[in-house]
Amino acid sequence: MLQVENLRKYFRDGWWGRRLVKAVDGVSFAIEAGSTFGLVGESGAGKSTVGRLVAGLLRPTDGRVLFEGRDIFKANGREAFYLRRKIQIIFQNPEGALNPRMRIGEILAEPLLVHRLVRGRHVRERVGELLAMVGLGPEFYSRYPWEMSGGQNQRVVIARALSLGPSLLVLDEPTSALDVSVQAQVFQLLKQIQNKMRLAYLLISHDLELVSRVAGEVAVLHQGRLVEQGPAASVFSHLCVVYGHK
Amino acid sequence: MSLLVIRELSVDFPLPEGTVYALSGVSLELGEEERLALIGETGSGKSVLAGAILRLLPAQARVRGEIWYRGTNLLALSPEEMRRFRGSEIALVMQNPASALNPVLTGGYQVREAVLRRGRLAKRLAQGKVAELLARVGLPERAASSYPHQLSGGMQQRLLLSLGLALAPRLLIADEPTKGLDWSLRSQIVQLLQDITAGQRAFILITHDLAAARYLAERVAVLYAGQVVEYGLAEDLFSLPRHPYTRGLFASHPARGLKPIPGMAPVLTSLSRGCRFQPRCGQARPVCAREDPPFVEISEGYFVRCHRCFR
Repeated sequence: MLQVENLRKYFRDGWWGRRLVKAVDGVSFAIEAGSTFGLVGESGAGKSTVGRLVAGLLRPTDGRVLFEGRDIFKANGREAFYLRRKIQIIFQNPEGALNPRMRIGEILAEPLLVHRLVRGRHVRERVGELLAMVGLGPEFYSRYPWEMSGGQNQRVVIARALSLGPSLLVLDEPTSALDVSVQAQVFQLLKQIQNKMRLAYLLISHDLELVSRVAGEVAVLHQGRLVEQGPAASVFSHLCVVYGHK
Repeated sequence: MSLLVIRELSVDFPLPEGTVYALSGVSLELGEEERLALIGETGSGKSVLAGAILRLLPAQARVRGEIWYRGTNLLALSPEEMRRFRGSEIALVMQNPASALNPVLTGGYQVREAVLRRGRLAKRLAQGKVAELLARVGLPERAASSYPHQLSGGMQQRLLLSLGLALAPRLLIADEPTKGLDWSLRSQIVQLLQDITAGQRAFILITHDLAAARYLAERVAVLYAGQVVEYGLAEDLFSLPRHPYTRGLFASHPARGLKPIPGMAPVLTSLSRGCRFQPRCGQARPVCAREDPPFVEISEGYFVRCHRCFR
């Protein structure tokens, strides 16, 4: 469903941009519909840059991202509008992803209105369904993000991403700002949603135990390059040797 | 003899919206050179406990109970007397080095400031002491002339630890020292904590990180909603946790199953009668909602706050 081919992203850094940073340097992988692909690596390895490229938030220096065979960086007009719906991204810090001056109901209605998926009185109904999907009651409709816990806010972010009917969610450290018991709740929810809607996940994390538990296929990124890739079990048994697992 | 004895410590914050009961009836003991891990989730009261020991809580906090440090009740000291304990007897390494360090002073300046704090050391010797401390925490010499923003997250954490060690305290308290670090940095910091505490000083590790707690501490206290729910030797607690919350917390770890605890932690302004974990507990019985569970020693030195564990 998603194919990443020889993706590169270079940034200019330092005084007058004299230093070239190869954040992502020739990365290729593919994600099947309904599966979870884990991308792991240390801080600064380029994981988040890959996530942003796949979500179309950054343009690559070179290489392609194909969604259902279509290059997401060549699409324009209606096609680009459609692709933006189908690939959604969820960030680490839910508080930063939600506008503190909007109520939860407004936050969830906005993408529906922008993409003209629902109109008029049906909006409220649809928002209620979305809240229910992530396990939040209708009373959250008129709350503000700062009145809620981190775990509840991350559920809202997930609901907003789901509102557009995506096929792929990029999960960039979705639970590293949350407590472990809340993390487990969020992943239980993500698993249910995946089974129900046949969603694919690109899970970006530095938590090896989490990724080994959740992902089927895993790639290890090191200084912008993939150094290892394969089924989770075999990659991790090897990684433990390399990093001297604690 | 015990270095630190905490008896029935309660802390609440009267706020306009209602009183927040941050800690309720916490009793713990720490021996000389003993290492204790406090584990619990956001809002369980871990950091408030550290703040209470060092008397660094906001002025409106209502603190009750006793905190005995080598025969002195810290809660009865005047502010001037208390200041003599901070840093040289008990040092706190704060959470989040990026905000705990002063961004406009170099690393070396900040360590030097801490070293000279007591006025016992001649200024000409301070430079050598600073170099020694930086080396102790594994920082290169250039860290002395770098500003915090020029250091990586792991190096900032090391710098903060060197401040904690500056006056060679008998008790070091570290609040979430491995938070936000990736796995290889995390194990480096855990190793460093081992090097600077084992057999040298008492240590209280406040953490979410079960692996670090197990490796570094001899004893563990689990906090939930402002109460210690389980307290005992680390090997016993990790091999056979008794309290349903501890079991749930362990099971929710990715390495141990990623199984969530249903529901949410209670709001600390409106606490009802009975066990605070009862609404989320799969094994709750009628008594759990009616009566507060007592904190009972079920075997020597092992305490649990649960009706189910001893009836």
